Amino acid sequence: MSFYRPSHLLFVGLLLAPIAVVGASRWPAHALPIRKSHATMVLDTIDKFIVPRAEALTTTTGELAAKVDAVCKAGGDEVSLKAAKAAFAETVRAWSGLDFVRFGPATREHRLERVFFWPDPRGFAFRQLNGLVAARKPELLAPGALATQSVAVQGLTALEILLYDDKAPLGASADEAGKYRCALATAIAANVHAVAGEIRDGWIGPDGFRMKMVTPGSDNELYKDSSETVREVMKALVAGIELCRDRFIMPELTAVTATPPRRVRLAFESSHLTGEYLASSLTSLKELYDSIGLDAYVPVDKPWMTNFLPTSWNSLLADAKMLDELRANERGSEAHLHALRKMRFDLSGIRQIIVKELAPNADIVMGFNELDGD
Amino acid sequence: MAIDRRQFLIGSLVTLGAAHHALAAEGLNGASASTAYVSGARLADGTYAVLVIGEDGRILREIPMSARGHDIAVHHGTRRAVIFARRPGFFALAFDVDGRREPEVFAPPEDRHFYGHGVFASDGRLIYATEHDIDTGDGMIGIYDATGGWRRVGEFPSYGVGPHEAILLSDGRTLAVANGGFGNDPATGRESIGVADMQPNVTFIDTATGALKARHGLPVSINLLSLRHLAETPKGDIWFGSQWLGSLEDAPALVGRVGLDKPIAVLETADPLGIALKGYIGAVAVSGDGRLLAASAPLAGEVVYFDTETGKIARTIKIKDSSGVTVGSSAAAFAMSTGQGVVRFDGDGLARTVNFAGAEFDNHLRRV
Repeated sequence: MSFYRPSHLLFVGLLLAPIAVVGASRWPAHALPIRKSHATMVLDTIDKFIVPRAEALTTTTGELAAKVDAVCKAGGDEVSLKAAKAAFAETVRAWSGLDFVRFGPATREHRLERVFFWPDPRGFAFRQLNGLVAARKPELLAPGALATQSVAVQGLTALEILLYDDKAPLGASADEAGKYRCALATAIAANVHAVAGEIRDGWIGPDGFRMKMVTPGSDNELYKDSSETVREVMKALVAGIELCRDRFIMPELTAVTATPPRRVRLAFESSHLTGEYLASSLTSLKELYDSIGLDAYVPVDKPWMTNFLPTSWNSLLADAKMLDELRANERGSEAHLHALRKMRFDLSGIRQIIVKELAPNADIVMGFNELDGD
Repeated sequence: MAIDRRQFLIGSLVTLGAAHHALAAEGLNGASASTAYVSGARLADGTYAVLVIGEDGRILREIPMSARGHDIAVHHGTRRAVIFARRPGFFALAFDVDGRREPEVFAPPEDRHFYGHGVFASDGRLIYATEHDIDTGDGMIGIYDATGGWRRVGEFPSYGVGPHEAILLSDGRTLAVANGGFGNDPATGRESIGVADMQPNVTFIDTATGALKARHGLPVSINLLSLRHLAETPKGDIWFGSQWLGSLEDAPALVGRVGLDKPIAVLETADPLGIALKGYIGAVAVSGDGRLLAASAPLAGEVVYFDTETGKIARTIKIKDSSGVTVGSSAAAFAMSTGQGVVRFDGDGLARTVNFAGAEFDNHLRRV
């Protein structure tokens, strides 16, 4: 067998590799990437990565809310249901690029969980949602009313349950229970749109979180200097890499290699968007990596990283796109295990290089306990 | 990261071979009675170990581990210790701090995981471990026989979700437990479950019966304050250090007091302490004379001393990636460790720093 046997020890070995074993740098001398200051790293990340994504999310959630509402008004016809599912997929893709930004407006008022409640190992969203459907309280359908309910029923996790129920297609039933389910789905989509708007609004404006991050100083209660703000950005990058590994790769790898193999529930399985979410997350993480400008901080004595890093990013994206099909058609096969192990290898390798090499070289301290204490 | 329990145990057993050789090399009778400290660490080659270190900077003992450890329960009478794998943890490694016998590994049942902390009974015959019931999400205290074999002999509820540190109070019978408020799914590793609906608390449990003696929670307005670490003063006050899981700008003070008959009182400070400490306390310890509480704040790169009488900040020490903090070798002294391999001994107006090159000390440091 030729499976990858990923090990952090291998990365330690890689990090210690002498110059003699490496190939030529990817960049000619005149085209070396620019080394950004901490302040520029933060500014570029906010203005080119976070805020545009927050705005795009609001656009997609607006579309989602309209399309789900249209399903109910059209009596659940196939065209409108298809359009709602397409809008749902767009929203999932949009959220995948922001889910790991766990500072600022998304962390207030439980917005992260209100958009996407996960992990949910005991099916809490399903049970809570069933309770609401059974109770059929009309007051919960009023604008804003859902925001007072459990976070489990407010977002994409609950909407996926309603929108992708093949046994009871949304909007198809004209009885009271069916109408309520559809109206509840509309309320959930509207709630997601409202929360997305809150996240976007929280970033912009003179009192927005953007201003707090780009103007650190002694009079700034949150951030005293750009060494603090750049660490927030870097932690988001590392958290995103870990989320990809821990939400998607490790659960599946553990389950398929168990004796006997087990099933494991992954995010967005019902909508068949698991792979989309992962691939889109990885694409966004690479863009965040580029926004920070980390390629410029490859240590001069380890130029092999200039090839290793893009190769690993590309490999991750290619493997992520194959995962859904492998899981559906040949779960547990050598090809499936190979893809999972290779992704674990690449995610761990990129994380290790960022934390141990690029960040220190950029004078960004990411301590062992600071990064992942308990 | 989800890791198969069986792989963990196999890995740990494999490492025992290495531990055996290390012990053989230094001699099984190489006991040292001088002040020493113990901590989990990641080593320069990326492997994990528990290290027994001397104040003189020597590594007295190094026992390899298959994964990252968290806190160490120490029984001073028998000089035995147990390091627990960190949340969600699937193994514990028991060892003799003087290396007089070989380490042993034990594990929680299939439907439990460790939270990284445990505490010996006064007589050292039992050890209580904070655990998570994976099926129900309830917090549990697992009881293991420390007289031989580390067999699990019972359990009782922690009366909360996500029990983190548990300490045995000076009455020798009551367990105080910091229930952090959220759980984990071993499948998805360290990602928190149910944060929005957290109800953290500190519970007091009679270890003889498992009965709840008192439970103190937080107001809903600060339910995202995950109560994690505890320390008792000689007067019987329980101090806690916590971690804020909400937005930094909303962080309350992270340190406070509680007692069997006293509800939780979060410190009130003139300046926003929670924001200054970046919403995160890594560990707490009370000085030998009971006058000071030390709380590490790794995100702020500080260890803060509080006067246990007034609750006021007595002193702030700047120390990057601080986390482990424990009572030092004199009445008002502390020892503190960092993720950058530094151990600082601080007390009696003097401070001394020792560097352990290549080591990254994990969350907790204990004096043995």
